[in-house]
Amino acid sequence: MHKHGTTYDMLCQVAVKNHQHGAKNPKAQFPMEITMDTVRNAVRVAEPLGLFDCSPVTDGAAAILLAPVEVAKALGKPMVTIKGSGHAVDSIALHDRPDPSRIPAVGMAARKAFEDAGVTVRDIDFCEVHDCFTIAELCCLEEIGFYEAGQAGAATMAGETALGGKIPVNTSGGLKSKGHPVGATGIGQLVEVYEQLAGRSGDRQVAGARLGLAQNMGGSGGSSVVHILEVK
Amino acid sequence: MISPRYHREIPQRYRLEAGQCDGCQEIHFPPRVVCRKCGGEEFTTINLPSHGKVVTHTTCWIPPAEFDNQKPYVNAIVELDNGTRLTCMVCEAPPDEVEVGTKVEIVFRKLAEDPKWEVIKYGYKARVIP
Repeated sequence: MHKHGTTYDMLCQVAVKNHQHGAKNPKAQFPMEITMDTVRNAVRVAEPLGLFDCSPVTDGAAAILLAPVEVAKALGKPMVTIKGSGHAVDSIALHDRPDPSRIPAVGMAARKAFEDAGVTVRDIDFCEVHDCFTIAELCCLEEIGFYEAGQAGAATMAGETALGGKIPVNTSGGLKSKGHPVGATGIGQLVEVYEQLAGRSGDRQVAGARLGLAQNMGGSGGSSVVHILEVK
Repeated sequence: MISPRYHREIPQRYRLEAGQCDGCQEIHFPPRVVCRKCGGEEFTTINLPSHGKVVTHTTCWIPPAEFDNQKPYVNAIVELDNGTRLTCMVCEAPPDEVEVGTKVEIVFRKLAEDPKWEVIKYGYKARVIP
C-alpha cells in the first residue's frame, strides 16, 4: 500500500469477490455474500487487516486420485492431466527478504511450472491462489505474472478476477469463503481446478475452461507450489 | 516459550549478538550454524548497532494471549544502521507515531510474562527516537 498505492477498498473487494464465488459453492464453509461494509466494519486484527481480510480456521479434507493415463482412461471419468509443476523456497523470516511487498517463492514456483508446462500466464483460463489474507491474493497474482507489481488491486476493483472476468480467481470461494483446512487446502484447490476443467462446477463454471492453475504456499511464502492442469 | 530455549537465546535477545560469516562476511541475526549465502560454518560473534529505521509496520489488535495486556501495539521490521533487519515491538509511542522511515533505537525491555510456563521474558524492543 505504501509502495504502490493499493487502497483498503481493493483489499475489501478481494473478500467480497471470494464470498460471491463461495456462495455458489455448496462445500464452502462460509457460503454467504458480504458487502464492502462487512469487511470495513469488522474488528481489526493487524492493521490494515481486519477479521474479514483473514481466512478462517477450518476442519476439512480433500482427496484426488492420481493414475497412469491408461488406467485413468479406462475409468471413463473426465480426465485431467498435470501439465506442469514448480516449487520454490525462501527464508521464513519476513525481515530476511529484501522487499516486504513481494513473495518471491511464488514467482519462482510459477516460472518453473510455466516452463515445465510449456505455456505462458496468458494461456491460463482461471486459477486458485492462496488467499490466506486478502493482500496475499493480490501479491500472488502479481508474482505469478497475471499482473505487474501493484496492479492486481485495481484489476480486482474492475472485476477482472471475478467469475466472467478476464481471469477468474478463486472460483471455489478461496481460503476466505470456502475455508482453510491448512493441510488439506492445497489438494482442495486442485479439486476445484479439476471440477472446473471437467465442467462440473454448476453456477460457478468458467465457460470453456481448458487450462487451470493452482498456487499454494506456507510459512508466509517461505515455500510455494504451483501446478498447471489441463483437461484432455 | 520453554525455559531452555529462552536461556539459549539470551545472547541475541539481551545483547543483540549476531553471527558474521568468516568466509563471506554475511551477518546473520539471529545467529545460524550454516551461512545462507556461502554455506560457511565458521562465524565471529559481533554486536549489532542499536540505531535504525522502520521498514514496515502493523498495529496488532488481536495478539497472542501473552501479549494481550499490551494491545494495541506496533510490530515493525527495523533496518539497523549496518543494514541488518530484525522484527520487534515498538514501545513508548502511540501507533500513529510510527511510520515507514521512523528513526528508532533498539532497547532492552520486558516482553511478556508467559502464563503457562511462568517465565518472564526479556528482550529487545524498538523505541522511537524523538
